[in-house]
Amino acid sequence: MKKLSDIVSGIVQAINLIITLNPEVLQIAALSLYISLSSTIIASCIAIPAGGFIHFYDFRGKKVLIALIQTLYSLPTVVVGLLIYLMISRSGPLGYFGLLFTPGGMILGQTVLIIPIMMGLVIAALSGVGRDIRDTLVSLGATGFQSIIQIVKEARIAILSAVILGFGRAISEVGVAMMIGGNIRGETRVLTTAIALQTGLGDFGFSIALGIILLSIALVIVAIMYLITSGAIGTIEQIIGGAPRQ
Amino acid sequence: MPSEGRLIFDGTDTNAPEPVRLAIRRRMSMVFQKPVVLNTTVLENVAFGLKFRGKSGQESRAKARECLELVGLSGFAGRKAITLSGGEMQRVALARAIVTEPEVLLLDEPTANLDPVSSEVIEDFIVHINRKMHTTIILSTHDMVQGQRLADRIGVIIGGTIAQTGTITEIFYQPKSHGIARFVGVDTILQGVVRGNDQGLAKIAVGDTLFEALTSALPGRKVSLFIRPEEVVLTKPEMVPPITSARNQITGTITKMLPVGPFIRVIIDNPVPITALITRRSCTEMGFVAGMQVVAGIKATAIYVLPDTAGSIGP
Repeated sequence: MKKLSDIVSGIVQAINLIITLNPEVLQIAALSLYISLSSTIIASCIAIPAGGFIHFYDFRGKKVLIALIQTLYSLPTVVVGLLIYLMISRSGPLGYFGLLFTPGGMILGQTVLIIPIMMGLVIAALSGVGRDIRDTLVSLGATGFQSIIQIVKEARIAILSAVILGFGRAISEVGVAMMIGGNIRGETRVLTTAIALQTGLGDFGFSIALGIILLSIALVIVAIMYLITSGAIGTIEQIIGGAPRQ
Repeated sequence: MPSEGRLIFDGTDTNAPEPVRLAIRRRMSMVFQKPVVLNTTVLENVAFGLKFRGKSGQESRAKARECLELVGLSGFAGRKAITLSGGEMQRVALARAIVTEPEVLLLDEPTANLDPVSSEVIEDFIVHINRKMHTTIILSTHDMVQGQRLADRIGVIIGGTIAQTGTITEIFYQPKSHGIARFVGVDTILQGVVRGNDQGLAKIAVGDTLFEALTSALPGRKVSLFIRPEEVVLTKPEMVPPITSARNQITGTITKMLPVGPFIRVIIDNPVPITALITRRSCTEMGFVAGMQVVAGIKATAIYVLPDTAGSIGP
């Protein structure tokens, strides 16, 4: 049982580490962001078109596929870690690329981890665009492709939520980062694995500092989501700084 | 694509490859019963049809502004369309439908979900489009009065088939079956037999009561009499003037009085059931109450006589 004073001194130390911009803390946070943002971008590039395809085209086994995707929402991170480990270890089919214990391997693992939930939520987002919108687009003389583009635009907020949720799952997971990255200091150590390690070592100040940073990232995500859904930020163009619509 | 049958547009079967169908679709546009807007500005909403047809953003927006002005929403161009009221959204939908100057405009109960004021604005606009832009408009409605106000020709659809097409007069005053008659608001439908015919002015017996009406049906022929409720004039028995233009004076007893907006539907029976539509004011002034004896005056010309055939009595 830790004494209360340990926790208090841990918090004081954590604030100190953050305020003084401790290089190691910053490096870990930056690596976390780099890996999780990369996997989110790659997963988006796969999940959004794939989700769109599944939504817009009818094929045999579509319902089964959607059920399977939904099942994979709760894919355990350690199972993905194990699968990717087997794939990229020296003797595995992708062993040639030498991805084990590298940020690249971690990006691959997190990408695989978050694709199902992003794809599932993209399908749900597109399904949320009503029949009446589709009929209206057809009545306005849209081609099939113009309709699809417009429906995706119509579902943009829900699709953005899917992307942000995927990012949230990637940055907060520890299984893939630990098993594929190996928590190598200065190379593959990210916020979650560092917290796990430092807590085990009794270095609470460091852990708490990283925990605060992790929570801050989550807060920023929630704030962005809120601004988008409340209409304060209307479109993706505005977020990334496009010219405002007249 | 129709789910059944064939749909020919200007000589072209619409059951054709997508490029042909797209070309046909782009010559028409449609407004749906439920107001639908896309989640962008009002102006962008109206401009969609032109953008889909490859017009530049600037040209589309300029044209969209003109159409917004027509529907009285010029001040709303920059507003987010989903924040509008139902009536405003429907006006946006109409502006969006006509911005492409369609040859045919399809309106599926465009005012069904709207308040009376919004409906009126939409109706005025529909008339404007028809008169000024010479657009052919096909409008579906459950509101017979709206049909009467807006249409040049009406088709009555009962049970999934077109029961009768014709002008307003034909549909409302000369329905071809009992079903259509009930549909277009003919409350009194009586069945009788022609007893005599003097050059088109016939005497028709309904039970023991004789009616005079215009028909070429010969004596002995079974006929149906259609009487619209607003054509029936009610008076008290002691007040019937000795000389009146109404050839039929039927005495009966009021059985029911149903308020319908500013009017009252008075149902008379014994010997024959007749429904009259009179204003609230005249009802109060005359002191009509259920159980009272009244005289229903109906001009011979106000009765439409339909000779009974196999199809006329059915639905």
